[in-house]
Amino acid sequence: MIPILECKGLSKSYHNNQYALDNLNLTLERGQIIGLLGPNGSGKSTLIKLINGLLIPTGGCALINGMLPGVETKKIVSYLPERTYLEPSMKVKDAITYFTDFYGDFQSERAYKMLRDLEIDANVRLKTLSKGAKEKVQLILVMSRDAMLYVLDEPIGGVDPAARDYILRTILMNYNEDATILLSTHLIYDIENVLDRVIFLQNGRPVLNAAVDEIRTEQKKSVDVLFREVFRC
Amino acid sequence: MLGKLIKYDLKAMNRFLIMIHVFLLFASVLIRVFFTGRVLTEGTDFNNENFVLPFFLFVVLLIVLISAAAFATQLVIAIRFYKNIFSDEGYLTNTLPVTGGKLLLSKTIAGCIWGAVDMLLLHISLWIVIGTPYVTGLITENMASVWSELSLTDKGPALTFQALLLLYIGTCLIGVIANVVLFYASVAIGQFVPGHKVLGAIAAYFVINTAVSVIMLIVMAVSGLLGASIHPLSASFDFTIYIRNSLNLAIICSILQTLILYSVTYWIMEKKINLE
Repeated sequence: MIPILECKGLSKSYHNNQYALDNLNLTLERGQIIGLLGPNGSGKSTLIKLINGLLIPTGGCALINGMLPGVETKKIVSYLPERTYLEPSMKVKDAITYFTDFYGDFQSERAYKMLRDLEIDANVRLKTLSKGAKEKVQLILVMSRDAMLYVLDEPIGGVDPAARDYILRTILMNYNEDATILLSTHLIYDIENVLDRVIFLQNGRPVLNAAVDEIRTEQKKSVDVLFREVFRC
Repeated sequence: MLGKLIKYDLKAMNRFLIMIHVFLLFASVLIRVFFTGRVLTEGTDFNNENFVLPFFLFVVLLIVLISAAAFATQLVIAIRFYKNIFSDEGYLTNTLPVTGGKLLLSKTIAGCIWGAVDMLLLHISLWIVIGTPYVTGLITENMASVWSELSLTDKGPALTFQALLLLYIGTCLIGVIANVVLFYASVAIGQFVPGHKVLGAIAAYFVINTAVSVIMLIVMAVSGLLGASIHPLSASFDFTIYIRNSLNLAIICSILQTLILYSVTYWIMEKKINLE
C-alpha cells in the first residue's frame, strides 16, 4: 500500500539561505498518531506547510497518498494551522456551512455535537470568542472531516488543561482507524499517551523516528524525558 | 465549486461595500435636496458672486464624495484578495480543494461585479445630484447640437445613441476589469518582498502603472498620436479622429495589460504561493 506521506529529499530554504528543512526523507504509514516534535525553528511548521501546499519546496518533494500537493491531496488532508484562519466576522455556524460547501468529507452533525459538548454557541461571531474558544472551533472543524491524513500544528497550545483532555479525546474518537494523524506540539507530556510514533526534528533533519513503545521499553524513558535529553540547551 | 467561491467572495465584500454605497446615495440625495435642487434652477443667476463660491464648494464636495466611494471600493476589493490569499485566512483558502487559478478567477469575477456595481452607482449618484429638472431641460434643449458633434456625422461613420452608450459602457467595464486585475497582480507580486508584503504590493502597483504609462507614451508617439502635428490649432488636426484613435489605443493597451497581468497573477497563484 502507498504510504500516506512520503518525503523524498525534501528541502526548503528561506530568503536568508538557511535551510528550514534539509534533505528530509520520511515515510509515514497509515493508521497511526505521530508526534512531530522539536524545538522552535526545527522545521516542524515548514514541513506541515509543505505537506499542505502552502510552501514551494526548494528541493525534493512531499507525496501525499502518492500525489504531489494539489487539489486531490487537499481533498484527503485535514489541516489545522497554528493560527486563526477563519474570517472573524463569520458566525460559527457559517464556518460549518463553509466547510460543508467545500469539503465532501465534512460531517456537520459531528461538528454541532462537539460544539454542544464544549458549550460553544453556533450563533456567535468568531470575533467575540476567546483565543482558546476559536482554537476549539477550528479543531472541531478539522476533526469533523473524514480525512485520510490529519495535520495538526499545535492543536492544544492555546487551550486550558480541561479542554485539552476533551480535545485529545475528540481527536482519538473522531478519526478513522485507517487515517493518520501528524501533530506537532511542545506539550509532549500531555499528548504522549496518545502517540504511536514520534519524530524528533532538529535543524530541519530528523534525529529520531521511533515508535513510542520502543522508547518506553528499550530506553525506559518517557517521550517527554527523552525530548528534554535530546534537546537540552 | 467556482459558484461557491464567488458566493463567499461577494459575501465578504458586501458588508463594507453596501455600507459605502448606501452612504454615497444618501449623501447624494441630501446634496440634491439641500443644495443642487435649490440652486440649479431657472431663476439662479450663475454670474452672481453669492452663487460662485457655494457652487465651487459643491463641486469639490461632489468630487471628494465620488472619488472616496470609488477608492474605498477598490481598496476593499484589493484588501479582500490580500487577506484571503496571503494573510492568515490564506491558510484556509489555499488548502481548499480548488486550484489557485480557480481562486483567482473567482476573486476576479467577484471584484469585477462589485467594480461594475460601483461604477453604476457612481453614475446614479451623479445623476441624483445634478439631474435637476432645469439641468435635464438644458440637456434636452442642446442635445441636437451636442449630438451632431458627438455622433461625428460629417467626420466618419455615424454613431447611434445606442452605439455610443454601448461604447461608453464597454470602456467602463474594460476599465473595471483592468483595475481589478492590476490590484491583484500588484498584491501577488508584492508577496516576493519578504517581511514587507503590503509595501511590496504598493511598490508593484506604482511600478506597473509607471511602466504602462511609459509604454503608452511610446506607442502614442510611434502611432502618430503625439508630436508637433497634434495641436488643437494646427490645420491638419481633427479632434474627433484624434479622440477616436486615442480611445482605440487606450482600449487595446488596457486589454493587453489585463491579459499580461492576469497571466502573471495566475502563474503566481498556481506555482509560487509561499505562506512563510
